[in-house]
Amino acid sequence: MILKIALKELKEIVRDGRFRITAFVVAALLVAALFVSKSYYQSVNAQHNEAKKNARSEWVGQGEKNPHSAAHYGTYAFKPKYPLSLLDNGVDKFSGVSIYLEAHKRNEAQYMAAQDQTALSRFGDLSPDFVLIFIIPLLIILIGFNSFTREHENNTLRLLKSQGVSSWKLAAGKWLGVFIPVLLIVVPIYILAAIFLSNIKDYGQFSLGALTILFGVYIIYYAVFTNITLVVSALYRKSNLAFVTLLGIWIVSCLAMPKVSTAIADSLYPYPTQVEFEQQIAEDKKKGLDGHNPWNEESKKLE
Amino acid sequence: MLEAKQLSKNYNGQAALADLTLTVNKGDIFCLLGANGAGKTTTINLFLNFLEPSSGQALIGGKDVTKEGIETKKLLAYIPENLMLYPNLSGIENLDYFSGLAGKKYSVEELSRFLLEAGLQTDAHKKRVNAYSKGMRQKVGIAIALAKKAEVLLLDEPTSGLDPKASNEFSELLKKLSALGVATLMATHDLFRAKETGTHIGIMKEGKLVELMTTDQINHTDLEKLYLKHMN
Repeated sequence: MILKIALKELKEIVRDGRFRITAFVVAALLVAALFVSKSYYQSVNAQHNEAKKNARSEWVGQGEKNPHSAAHYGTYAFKPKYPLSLLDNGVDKFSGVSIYLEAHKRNEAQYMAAQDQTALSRFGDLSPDFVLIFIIPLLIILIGFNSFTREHENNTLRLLKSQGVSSWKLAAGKWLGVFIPVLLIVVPIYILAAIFLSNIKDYGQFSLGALTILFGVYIIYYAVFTNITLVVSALYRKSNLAFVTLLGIWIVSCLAMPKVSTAIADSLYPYPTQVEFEQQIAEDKKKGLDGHNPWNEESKKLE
Repeated sequence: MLEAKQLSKNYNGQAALADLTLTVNKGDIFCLLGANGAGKTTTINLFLNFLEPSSGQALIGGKDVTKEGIETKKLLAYIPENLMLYPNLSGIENLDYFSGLAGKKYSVEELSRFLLEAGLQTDAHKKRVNAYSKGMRQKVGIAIALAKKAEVLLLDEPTSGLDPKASNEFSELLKKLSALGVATLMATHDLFRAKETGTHIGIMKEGKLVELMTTDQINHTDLEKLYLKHMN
């Protein structure tokens, strides 16, 4: 019976046109995001290879030297890119791409993309994860906001209730009716991503397990959004009120919360600027181990 | 089949229904007459368990509707004044859905037969309901009752706003169902239809059943006189 309810919801959703348009927009955005991601990947890869080659040729170009001074001269090490970062950049923007390696010293990672950007950089890149995190919840809202309210508005609820269907079965059917279209979009993306990423050459180790976990988490996220959408739809009698409320929830959870929470965290526990941070490191290094002198005081403490 | 025992419903101390006691047996068509606000719809809503009675009991098939809401709903079919269906689904899909909710499974041919039996032309079965007239939707309602094999029909002014022909067809269907043993409780304003179709007539005023008779006891003119006497 639950399946029957879900099927009827699906039929209505598909015939409604709303879903067709939004699903098309989401698909178009995803394809665009994939292309942006792909060209970004190609340019990053090219830069990476170029930089690696330069670093290597500088290192080799030192000529014959004793190993100690060669180590002092140092070279760059580059952080490998992972295939999953094509879908979701994660913290790459904040963690830098390379480290200067030299003897006795430990350097900081350099060239964080976020350094050159404003706080807005948390939001706004057209990448697949932008669509997956922000746009699909919006799609869920569009599919589900009137799931219950339209039964009120069309006066079908009384007839529905007079058929002797239990409320939880109705709710479960409606839930599936919203969630199945989401799966119809997400599962093909997952399959495409798996095929696409496992066919990329020289781009780190691809792990199907990691991709599956990533999508598993997304699906849980969508389930939460589906729950919120249906609860709101069941609480209201008017579709437009339910829609406005849900949009409000979307704005708060997807736009406002990430900003506000980082701002609050920043004002409560401001993190040091790059300069302060480097000074502190230098200070600590001065008091710390001396690489040239294994018998200094600090090393003795370790013994 | 249908039984009300001292059934009452108060809203903020105001009695919408007071001490209603009535019985509708298998094959009976019980017509409730009365002005708007006399308690006809309240009675039907109490049988549907959409409202909680303030006191008394509503029984369907001997079961209390407040205690066995789901069980009693399996026995009944409900057709409101304006039966609304899902506009984007066809008549047959609507029937399939609603009878599915009642736990019945039918093939497309069987569903089509129910619609035909309810008087809906075959070429309308696969059309979307948003193109249906009110009379056609009421027929789908009857088909839902047929498909559900309902033993009780609860009708809330089902013929108001129907043209005389559609109204007549509807009455014929009710008679057919009544011959099959279906107990019908119908709220209506149509004195003529009540006399023609009904087996019993009750007149309600301000929440009370003030008159109760079988239709063979009274002719149409006397019924109208009696009705107007109570309303004035």
